[in-house]
Amino acid sequence: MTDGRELNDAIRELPRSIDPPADLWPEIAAAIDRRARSRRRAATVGVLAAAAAVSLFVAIDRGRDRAHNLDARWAAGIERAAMPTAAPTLMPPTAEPAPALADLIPGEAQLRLAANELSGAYDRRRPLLDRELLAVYEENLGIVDAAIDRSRAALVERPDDPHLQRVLDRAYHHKLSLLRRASSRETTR
Amino acid sequence: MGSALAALSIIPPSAAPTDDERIAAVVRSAQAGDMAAFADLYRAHVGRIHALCARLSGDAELARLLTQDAFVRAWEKLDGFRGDSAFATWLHRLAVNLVLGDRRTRLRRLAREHDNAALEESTGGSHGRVDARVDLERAIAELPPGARTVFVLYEIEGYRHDEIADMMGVSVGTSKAQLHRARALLRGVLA
Repeated sequence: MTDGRELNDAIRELPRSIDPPADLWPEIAAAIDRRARSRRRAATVGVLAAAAAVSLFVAIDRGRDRAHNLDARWAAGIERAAMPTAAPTLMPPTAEPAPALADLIPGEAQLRLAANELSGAYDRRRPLLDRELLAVYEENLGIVDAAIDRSRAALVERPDDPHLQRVLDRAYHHKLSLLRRASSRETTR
Repeated sequence: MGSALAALSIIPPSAAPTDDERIAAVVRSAQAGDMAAFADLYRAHVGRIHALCARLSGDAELARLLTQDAFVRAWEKLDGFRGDSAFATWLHRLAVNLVLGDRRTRLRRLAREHDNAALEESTGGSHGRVDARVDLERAIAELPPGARTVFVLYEIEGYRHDEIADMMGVSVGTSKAQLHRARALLRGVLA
């Protein structure tokens, strides 16, 4: 096999397919299963962390609301004490009904659209999710949705509050992140 | 009657799906999470992928591990397969990249202890001492890694030099030089 032609002939005769000495499928299936379990664990931890972060923001925001209301009542009490003879006035209702789909933060419509699209993907994946993980996602999506509703309601009252705007923006992004994770293939097995 | 015959004549002779359609359907099932479908894909392609891994690595045990890893990675990346190329081509390319990546990792690890250039020569085995009676397969396994990779990808797997250069991160000239070197070594060993 000294010249190139003989070498070429020998190359042509080489088999293109060589089966492994033993079936590798059992080990491959086991490795896939191991990685999927580890991803599920990571996904669950991620979901819980995201939910905890949203809950924390909501709690902080509630605390701010409460402090704000206490300040207002304290200030009103001082005013009333200073003017004991003033006739009580009927305050008009301060909260207008929240506009259903008006943007309260820049890009909210796009965030809502992305969430709707991911929700569709998530709905298609739901039958493939295992029940335990599905329950975790459902619970946490509920928390995030509630956080979005509360943030929006607060923003209607205080539309220029940058803190509330950040809370709403983060809640949307948590929702997108949750939906992305829930609708990705890695979480289905 | 005539029009009925005319209509029948445009009906394809068989409504059975073609091989490509069947493969595409199996890939779609696997993409949707059907492990049994992925097992079918494994069985259809394991021979090609194992041959590739065995020849590129030159080591039977490593070839087994790389083949396993290639299919595990394929499962994980299956969502990224859009059908722009044949599934076999996609899988093959994934396996080549995996083997080359694995080699780079090993070389980096070993290079901390040894001189890199000496390593390239030494890990190729004792090609100068190979018995003239060994077959071509064995001789390929004994080639230095760079030459072996180019030889396998170009001569056996049919990649072009520009594709090989791209995958290996070398120039086209280097790829051609490695091929020339591989062929010269094989001719010498097998003479």
